[in-house]
Amino acid sequence: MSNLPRELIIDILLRLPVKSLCRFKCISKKWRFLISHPLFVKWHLSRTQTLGRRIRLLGDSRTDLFSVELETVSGNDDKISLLGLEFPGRQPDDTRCLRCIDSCNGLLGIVNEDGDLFVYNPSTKKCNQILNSDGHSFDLLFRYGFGYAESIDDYKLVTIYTLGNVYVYSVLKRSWRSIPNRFLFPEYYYKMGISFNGAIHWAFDNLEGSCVIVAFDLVEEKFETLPPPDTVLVEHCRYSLGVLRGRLCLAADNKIGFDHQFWVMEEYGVKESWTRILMPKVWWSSQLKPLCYLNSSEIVLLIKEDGLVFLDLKAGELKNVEVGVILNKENGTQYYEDMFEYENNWFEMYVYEESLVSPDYKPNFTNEGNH
Amino acid sequence: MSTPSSSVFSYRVLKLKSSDGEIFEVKQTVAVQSGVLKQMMEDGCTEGEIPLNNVDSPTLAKIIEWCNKHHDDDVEGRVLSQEKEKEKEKADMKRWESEFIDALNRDELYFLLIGSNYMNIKELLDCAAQKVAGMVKGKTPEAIREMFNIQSDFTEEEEKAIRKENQWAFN
Repeated sequence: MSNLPRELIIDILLRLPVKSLCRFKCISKKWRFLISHPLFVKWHLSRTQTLGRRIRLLGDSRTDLFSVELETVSGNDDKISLLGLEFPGRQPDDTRCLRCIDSCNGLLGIVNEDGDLFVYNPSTKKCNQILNSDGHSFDLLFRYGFGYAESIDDYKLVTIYTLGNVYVYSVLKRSWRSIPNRFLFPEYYYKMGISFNGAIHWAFDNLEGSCVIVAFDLVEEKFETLPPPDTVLVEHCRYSLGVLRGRLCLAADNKIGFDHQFWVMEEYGVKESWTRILMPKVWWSSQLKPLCYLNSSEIVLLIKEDGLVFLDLKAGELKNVEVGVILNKENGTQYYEDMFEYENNWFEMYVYEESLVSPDYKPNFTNEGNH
Repeated sequence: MSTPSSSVFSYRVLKLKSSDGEIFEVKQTVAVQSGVLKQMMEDGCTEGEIPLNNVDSPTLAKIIEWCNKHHDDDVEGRVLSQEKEKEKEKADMKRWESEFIDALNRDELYFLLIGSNYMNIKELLDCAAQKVAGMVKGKTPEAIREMFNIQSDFTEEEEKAIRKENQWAFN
């Protein structure tokens, strides 16, 4: 294989998993340059996203992170097991709160109970703590968002308190900016935002009981609202957002009536494009949150309070799927535990792609390894 | 890989000359899978022998075997083929492709990569590159250096530092 043209070497390397590529950085200066090059990183990511391969489910138990490759999950499964995901600098017995904000291009935004913020790439195990230079402090009673704006090629972390300012961190500029918050969130609402299309989204019911979808534009750094579906459930309802195959989705449920609705916004920002996906009637009062499609199938994964739901769009069927974690005992053996039972009776799930994107993101190449 | 223009010269034959001088006759409907030959046909310059200076005869024979298997003359005739049959055909083709690629030794694979890249045969290049990626994936850096004939230009300390930074990837 000696003297393969550079374009063929690149073609072959683009097909490799992140782990192999991290190992191959020590082969030669040329290979390290290639693998670390921002263009290569972008092509590798875009291949992963296009093929829908090397996608992982992330489980967040509020103290620990877990993950599993989505391709190993089948529509026939009744339970899925996630493996522990190391977080740099954190001891296994640390019980302080740690939460994922959102995932974007293989990077995770993370916040801990002290309000420290991190950008973490679990595939390369590189982590970057965001310095909080302005002296303002965060805690978990903020709304957080983490996303990417393609037009400015920048990742941003957004933190919003009920009153006061919105703080926006630009990974590219390595700096915070504070903006007066003119948008009033409900006081009890502390959900993580959903990043999509260069904006962070939240959905909730306002004082009049109607559905509000708010989008914080990462480029303009301002709030906008998106129109909800005309016939969405209202009054005493809960709403949650998700992104499925490049479209914003909204799940709504009526706390009292056990009523659930599931909507897809076919064209971003266009009210008329909301399409309702019919779901079988369910009898649980849990809120549902759209997570992802199961690989190339027509099965949608929805997060329930105590597990997952597989919604088979073709067959029009729903089934419950238990989510568990594999934990290590002190004697080295492993055991399985229902994730919902684990520690806090609480869990959240996300989807992320395996990627080489650096949490210390620089679109223009500078020699990696010198920092 | 049928294109509107390909039907015009479907009955005609191209003469391909390998780097070691052997002539291979290939139907135009088959040759159209090569981006380079397709362009030549569209430009009307396929008279006489077409020299392929980067492809030797064993490699060209392999490439033509691939293209013959993948050319879609018959498929068009079977308009009514059922969904299930199509699925089966797809699966059969996948199996044929992996057997075809797996039967090659490392040198043959190397020349096939170069040849399919040179002749711009996307599907074959994709299949060959995927095969090499599979071979490379689990290997150690030392094995990769040997395979691609690369000399490390890092100092011992530099290499140690990079390995340390990515230690987890070696487990």
